[in-house]
Amino acid sequence: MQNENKKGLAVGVVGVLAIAALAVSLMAGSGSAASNEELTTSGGQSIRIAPAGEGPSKLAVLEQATPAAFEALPDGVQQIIAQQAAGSSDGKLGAIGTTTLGLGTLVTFAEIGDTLCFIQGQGDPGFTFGCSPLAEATAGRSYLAMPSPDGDGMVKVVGIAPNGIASLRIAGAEATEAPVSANVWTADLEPANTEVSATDTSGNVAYQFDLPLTSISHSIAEAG
Amino acid sequence: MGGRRYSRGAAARCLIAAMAVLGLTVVSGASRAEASNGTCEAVGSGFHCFYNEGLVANAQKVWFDSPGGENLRRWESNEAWDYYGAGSHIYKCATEKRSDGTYFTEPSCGNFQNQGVWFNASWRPGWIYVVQGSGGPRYLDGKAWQE
Repeated sequence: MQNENKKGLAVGVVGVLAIAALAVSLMAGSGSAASNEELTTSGGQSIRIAPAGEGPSKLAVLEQATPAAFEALPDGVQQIIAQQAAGSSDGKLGAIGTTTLGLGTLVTFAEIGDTLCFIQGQGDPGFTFGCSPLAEATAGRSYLAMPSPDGDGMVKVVGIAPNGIASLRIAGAEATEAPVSANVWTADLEPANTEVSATDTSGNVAYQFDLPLTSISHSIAEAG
Repeated sequence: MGGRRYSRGAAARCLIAAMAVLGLTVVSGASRAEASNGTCEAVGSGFHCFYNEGLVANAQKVWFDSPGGENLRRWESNEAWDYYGAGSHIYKCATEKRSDGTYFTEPSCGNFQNQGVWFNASWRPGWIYVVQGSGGPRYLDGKAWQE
């Protein structure tokens, strides 16, 4: 008799747990469906926002994408994200991060499927961007380089630094120290081939890479 | 009467000249077809275009060139792509030359898998190109979106 009571109790407990698990699962499912939203940019392109939890954030600046966060981006940035999503196998926008550089330049990170896009600019004359597989882009060696439109021969470089990197030291006749803020570093450099060392918060060199700025920087905006 | 007569030699020279002209026309047509490197497909209300997809010398600009020659277009964006893999992506740029002869003031260069630039409406239309600066010939693709 006691054994039967124990069995009944055990079955009851298992049943309650199963119902609870089912309820949690259904709640999670309904939440995902609600955030798996399709939006349309002003240019008529569509983009889907990934459900919460599908966007692995490898950079502190990244946050789960929401329709409100996407719609707050400038039209041009929205169109770049939508175009990249249209060209990828998994076109969902998983995470967004933004920060600003001097003179109001907006920097946007967008995690689209397993790709990270890095977009910078003020909208006029446009935006420049680069996209790479997520693991590569978050490793910290990716950068954009914009030959100065002033014709002074300098090159503006804006790059990605992973979590834990405090600054980047750019070698040269006059070594430059570029601090990292919100996973971004920037520097105005001579168009020379040089080496960059990333220093972590403990002062150790975490990694190094080459910056080959000489080859086409000067010829890019010349006739031919 | 006073009609002019042509010798066999003159007729042969004439025939050879005609064949040469015809041959040059065919050759020039063929090389122009080979030079065309751009195709576009309709996507939504715009077009997704692809160009080059081949070896490019260091610092050589490769312009979008459609078979129809309609290359001055209202481009929304232009991208330089390479597929050399993580850590091996080449330094490359994508940009545009506007119809008034000015070049886009902020070309996009760098070492991402694809380097791109989005043009404000005031920079449309224009001619687009990609270029790479690896030091030697490399494979380079161009991809662009047109209004």
